Amino acid sequence: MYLIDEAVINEVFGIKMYAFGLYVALGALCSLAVVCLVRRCWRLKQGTSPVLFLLSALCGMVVSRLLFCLMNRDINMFEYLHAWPQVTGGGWSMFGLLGGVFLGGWLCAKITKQSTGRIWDVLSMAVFPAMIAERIGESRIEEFDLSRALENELLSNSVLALRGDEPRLRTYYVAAAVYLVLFIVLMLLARHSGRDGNLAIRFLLLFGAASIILESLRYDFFLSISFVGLQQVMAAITVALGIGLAVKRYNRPKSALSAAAIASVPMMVGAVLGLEFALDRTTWNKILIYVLMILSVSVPAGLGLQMLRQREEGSVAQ
Amino acid sequence: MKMPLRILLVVLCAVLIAAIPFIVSSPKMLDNVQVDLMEEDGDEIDFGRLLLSCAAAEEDLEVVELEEGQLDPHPEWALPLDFTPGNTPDPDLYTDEGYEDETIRVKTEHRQLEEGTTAHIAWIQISDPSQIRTAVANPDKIKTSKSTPSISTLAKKYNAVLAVNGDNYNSEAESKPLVYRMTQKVRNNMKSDKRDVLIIDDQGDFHVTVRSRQAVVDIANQLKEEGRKLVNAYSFGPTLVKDGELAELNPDYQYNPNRKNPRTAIGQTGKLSYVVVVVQASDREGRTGLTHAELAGLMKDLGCISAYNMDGGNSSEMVFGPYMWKGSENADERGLNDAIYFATIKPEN
Repeated sequence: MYLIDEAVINEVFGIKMYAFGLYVALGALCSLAVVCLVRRCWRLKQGTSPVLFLLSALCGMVVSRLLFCLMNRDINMFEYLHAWPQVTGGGWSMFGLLGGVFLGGWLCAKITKQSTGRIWDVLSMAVFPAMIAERIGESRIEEFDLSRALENELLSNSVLALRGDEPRLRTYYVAAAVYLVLFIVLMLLARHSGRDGNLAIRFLLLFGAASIILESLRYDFFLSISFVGLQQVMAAITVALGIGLAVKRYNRPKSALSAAAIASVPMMVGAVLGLEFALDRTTWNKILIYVLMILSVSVPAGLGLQMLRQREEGSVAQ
Repeated sequence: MKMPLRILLVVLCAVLIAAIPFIVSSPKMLDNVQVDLMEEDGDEIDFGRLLLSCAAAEEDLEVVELEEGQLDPHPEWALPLDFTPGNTPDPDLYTDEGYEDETIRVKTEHRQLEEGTTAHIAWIQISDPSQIRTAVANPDKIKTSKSTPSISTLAKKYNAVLAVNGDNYNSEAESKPLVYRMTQKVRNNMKSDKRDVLIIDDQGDFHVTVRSRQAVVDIANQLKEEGRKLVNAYSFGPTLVKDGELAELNPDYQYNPNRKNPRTAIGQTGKLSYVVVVVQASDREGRTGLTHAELAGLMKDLGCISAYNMDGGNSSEMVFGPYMWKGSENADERGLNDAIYFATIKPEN
């Protein structure tokens, strides 16, 4: 099979294949295992697992590619429409993948006549193994997903640093570690998850908040508008979507908690923009800036999670 | 769901997973794929090719009379026109006013233009055209590398006597249509006239264009007629001074032309004589710094025959041995794709 020489290629059992694709495939396999496991525990209909996997994977790949082409600022892809289907040349969007995966989940729910919320809950956990493998796979792609030059000696000498003229953080490893933690958290929450779809909302809140920080760590001018990465914008939208759904579920639009949660989104966006500006254009302590950023994104995520918790406790009490 | 259908779906899942390693090559678009796309249907301007080796070029050197203040030529010490670093500068020769050895003379000056706006000026005289060079982050992947070291890192890596930021050529790549680095073509696909271009030839002479694709073609033809070759080309701009006169500035040119900002400009003042300016602004509110028009006026006053604006704002930075002057004093060094630098060719002891 023809492979593009420029990509990193591995040979497994005498068969040459893309190293990055191999990681993604292993991740997809693990995701399929999670889907099967959860289907069995939650007693979803038989046959749900392969249908869900196929639809989610296919939709994920299509939307991921579409979003990459739409957002690519290095090349105006509208001038090269014929290149959009040439997927072997690389170019995928993580947020596009997630959007497509959940679109596939919705289709699966319609086809198998099951609760969309329940299916999305399954996907909320199942996407993590694939994303973790994808991030580790990126370690095989040089000069991608690296941070600004590190000033902190402890970090510079750690295994997370890529040493060179200037040590830089391998943010893909950080992201993989964060995703692993989120995966475990969601698996634990799944045991007590209330209404269908609550786990998916928790995923949106936690993944969106974490992604704002993780995308901020990257500094490779890939899909960015000035000092703000497009992926960060997508992450903020994810948090906002999670808050919107949590407020809807909470069903007390005039409560202080709902108002605080809604107000926290623009405040978070403003704070993150300001902190990104400070990262790019000041000599302020970077660790302090990241601590402030974590606090900024924790507020809406925390309020959203609190609304879901209160709602679930209320349902149990009733 | 019936068993045969479930088996079929499981088989399809297995096929899909097995296909991924042969389809998904990279999260980003591969360099060659991107370059091929950008060059597709391109209307490339022919600058010829620089085939002469350094030694061959030496044989063809004309004997030229030295102008006043010019350094003695040392063609035997010329650097190859590739990404070879310069010779190591002598750290003892740096003072806060300049640097001088047999092959390079740098004089620095700091002018307070108005409150909060300081122009850090470096006058450079070199003995050989090969001493004006471009440093890139990754010479093996010049076309698409997103690697962004700081100017001070590039200066150290390439043994620069003096380095200044360039056009950050791989950021917003498609908007920079004509880019050459040390004779290697990065992009040559002039689709529009939006960007002014600076070309530096193998004699170290500047050629600037003002919103004209035809001007680039004319320069290419002129270089070929005169047997000269293109070494470096930058697509940032605008052109500030052309033929010793203020260039016509476009009020809608990119990056706040009419707002006061930190700026970087480079100009040629004579044969192998150059001036590099970094305008430092004490704030980024538009109160300090220079507009394009003000910068053009400054470069003309400094005696430039040709002058060109490079990336500004927080990218603006000059590194001169142990000294560093940034456009925004209170910002960290920004990571960039490239730097223009001046090297010594005096052999190392």
